[in-house]
Amino acid sequence: MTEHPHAHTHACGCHEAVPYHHAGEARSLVEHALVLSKNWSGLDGNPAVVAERVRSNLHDLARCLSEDGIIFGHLKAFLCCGRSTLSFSVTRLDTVDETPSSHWPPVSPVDWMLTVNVLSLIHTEAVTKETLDALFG
Amino acid sequence: MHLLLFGGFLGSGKTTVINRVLRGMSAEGFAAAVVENEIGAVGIDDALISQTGVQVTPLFGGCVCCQIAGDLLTAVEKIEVQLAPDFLVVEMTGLALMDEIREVFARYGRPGLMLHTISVVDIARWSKLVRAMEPMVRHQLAGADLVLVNKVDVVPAGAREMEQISQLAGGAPCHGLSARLEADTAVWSLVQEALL
Repeated sequence: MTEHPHAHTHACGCHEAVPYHHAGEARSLVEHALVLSKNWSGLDGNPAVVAERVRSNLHDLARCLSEDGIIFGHLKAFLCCGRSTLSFSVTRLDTVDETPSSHWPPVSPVDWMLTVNVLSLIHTEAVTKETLDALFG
Repeated sequence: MHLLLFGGFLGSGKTTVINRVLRGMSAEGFAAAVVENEIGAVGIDDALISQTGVQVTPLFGGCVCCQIAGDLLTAVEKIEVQLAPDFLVVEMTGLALMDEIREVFARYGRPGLMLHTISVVDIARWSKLVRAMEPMVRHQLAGADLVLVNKVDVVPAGAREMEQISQLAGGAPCHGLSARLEADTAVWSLVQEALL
């Protein structure tokens, strides 16, 4: 980012003199955060294909929300196929961290449920529920 | 009952750290319960923590440091009475401000409650986060009893960054780790030695 969200000048010396001078800015960031969470489910899916689609969509979301190569927030997804689960986490552009359960991958075809959470403190209008439905629905 | 409050920015690795801690506790025979706060309406972290076999009480749809503080206090009290675990672990949202949640417990929590606050920092994004959002980062570190500087497998924690983090955390002890790679017992030992 090339500018501070609160556009102060540093010249005031506030960080040294009064540590919580900008308390209101932290609260403002929280109050205006982008918070989206949604579920989808499918029947008789190929888990590898579903997982690749989730991976690809998370990369797309990251491109919408990233700044300076990082997410000022968190993209999370949880793919559940019975006892087998695969969780996805994105905090940096072009990196999707994945954590499979001990039973992953399941034998296809499987019924699956996907939960996606999108949390971002910047670019808060770049992604909507409709965006998520278009990607994952 | 000891209450361990885990905070830290979105995606810092709180859930991964907590899972390690819970497995470490279990290995030593301690009973634990978890309250999982997620700001969204549908949770993910509760499912991840449930895989450790620990009972999880979800608090969704708001942040416990402000919107649903009362729900957290009620949940803590209920769990202490009904389950009486050795440890109650609370994972706060990545937007929660540690100094505010401490204030909530100071004002409204049970007197004598053994409260320990742990802030998890993502060193891989630290320099950019603190440059762009210092007020938020500062409030998430202020009031922490222990800081876990996570993801050192991605970016090593330099001395300058550790000093900066420690200063923002009011001098709280700071330890680097990779929650993803460390053994369960190592993470739990680190928390135990620092806080208990």
